[in-house]
Amino acid sequence: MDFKIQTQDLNLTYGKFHALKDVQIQIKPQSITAIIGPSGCGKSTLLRCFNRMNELIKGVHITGRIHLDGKDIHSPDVDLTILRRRVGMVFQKPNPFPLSVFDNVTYGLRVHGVRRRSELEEAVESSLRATWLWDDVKDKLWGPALALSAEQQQRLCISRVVAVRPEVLLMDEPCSALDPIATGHIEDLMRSLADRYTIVIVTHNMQQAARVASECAFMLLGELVEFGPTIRIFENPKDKRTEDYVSGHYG
Amino acid sequence: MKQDKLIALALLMVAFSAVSGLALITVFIFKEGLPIIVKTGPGNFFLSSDWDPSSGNFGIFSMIAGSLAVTVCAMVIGTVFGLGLAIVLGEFCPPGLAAILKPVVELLAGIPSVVYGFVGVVTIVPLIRTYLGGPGLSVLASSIVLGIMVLPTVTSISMDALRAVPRSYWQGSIALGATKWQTTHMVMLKAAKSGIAAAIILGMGRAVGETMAVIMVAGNTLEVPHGILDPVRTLTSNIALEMGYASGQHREALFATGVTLFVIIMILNTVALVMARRGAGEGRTR
Ligand SMILES: Nc1ncnc2c1ncn2[C@@H]1O[C@H](COP(=O)(O)OP(=O)(O)OP(=O)(O)O)[C@@H](O)[C@H]1O
Ligand SMILES: [Mg+2]
Repeated sequence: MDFKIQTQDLNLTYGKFHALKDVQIQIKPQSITAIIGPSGCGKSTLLRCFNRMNELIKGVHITGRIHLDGKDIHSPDVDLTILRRRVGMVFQKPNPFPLSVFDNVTYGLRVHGVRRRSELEEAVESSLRATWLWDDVKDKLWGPALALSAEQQQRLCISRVVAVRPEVLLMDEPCSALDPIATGHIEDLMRSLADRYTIVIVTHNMQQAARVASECAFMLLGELVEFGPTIRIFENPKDKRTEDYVSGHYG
Repeated sequence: MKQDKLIALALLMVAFSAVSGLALITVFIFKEGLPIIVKTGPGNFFLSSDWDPSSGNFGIFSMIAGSLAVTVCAMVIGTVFGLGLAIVLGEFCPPGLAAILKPVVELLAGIPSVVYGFVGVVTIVPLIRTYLGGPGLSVLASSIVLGIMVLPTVTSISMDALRAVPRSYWQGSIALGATKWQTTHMVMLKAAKSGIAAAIILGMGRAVGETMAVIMVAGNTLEVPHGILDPVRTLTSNIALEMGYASGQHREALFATGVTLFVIIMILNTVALVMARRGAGEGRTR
């Protein structure tokens, strides 16, 4: 089978600190892959490799290969703006821009040169529908995005990414700022998006990983310890360290 | 405990005397200036350009126009360069370099204004006279000098405003494929807009109030300027130029000029304060 994202001997250092060690991961298209592991093990760092956001941090050095649809994302002919449009990212803390709801959703399109009013309006409706936000905000499209609730803000951030028609959605602990009910809603949303997008989610919450993800990766101290179907990782881990973690022996 | 109370009392008195000193100055200026405005009639005082103290004509319109022209042009120059510099230093140049350059720009604020005026007289004025015509001493020369003088204020406060924008906005924008420049003008500038407005208005306050440098390069003629190459006299220059020998009604009219300036600057500062407050409020919503 063809993987959506595949890494080979991926190593990353922040200055002298070795944050990712020989990571090999294969991410299946149109599915949800969860990355779990204790704090500081490199989950966010790995996620940021996939849209090359690490390059904005000073002192980062990356070796090894990352393939998106079989093509190296570090090759010189890759256009970064196009890569980031194909591989969208949702952050831990909802970060809508201090603009109107409409301007938030259309931001990515405008950045990529779309100006036609009708096209923007269409994109707003379809993206907000895709994230089940349309009915909540259709009368407040010109109101400030920052006036929405935390859950609505996070959904708006997902709509904003969905609007540019990405192929991959990277989500870095997307529910950690939300209450359990809102978390449930976002998880339902993720499952509904999974038949169109390849989703990679970082989470601290093992139940969440078990609920949404079909594949699961366990990381520890920069290493990818174990990777496989979620059920197997939780019920039949091969590595002692994974077993300790999923049975709750680590923080 | 007792000592604390004593210290508090002492500090209160210091604060009180400082504030009452300012209040006294304000009362004094208004007491000296208002009667002549009433006597000449506000219409005549503010809207006539006939300033001839020896024959008792006190119309300050040409100077209001002069101050306005100089300030507006100075702010265009100061904003374009000051905000530009803030953007380059805050968003595009390496942080190390910005850390050195920002204090350097702020240092410009410490140079005495007479030095700016002098540099203006020996460089800008002759350049204007040679290449653009006119006497050289002009609205343009004053605006350039003032534009440079307000640069530190505009740059420093706008930079702080840009820096106060949460980094998560920047990341969100970059992650959507925006370039740094798109991110700056589509998100960062919008998020920082009230702080930037405050920067511009504070700069404007400085430009309206500046005296020495303007006297040296403005030409100081008593006419409403018709173009940027015409010489002008500003409200501040008028006071400084004539205070030395004025007496009686003439002296009162100069105080009235001061009242006019006072009110203009109070309005500007209030607007700036409100803008800055509103900016801080926006930042607080998450
Ligand atoms: N910009 C940086 N400079 C230096 N070291 C960093 C930087 N960012 C992260 N690190 C280090 O790299 C390691 C991995 O960080 P990362 O943020 O990827 O962990 P994480 O698994 O996402 O943790 P958390 O669950 O707390 O979000 C940590 O030890 C961290 O201290
Ligand atoms: Mg993290």
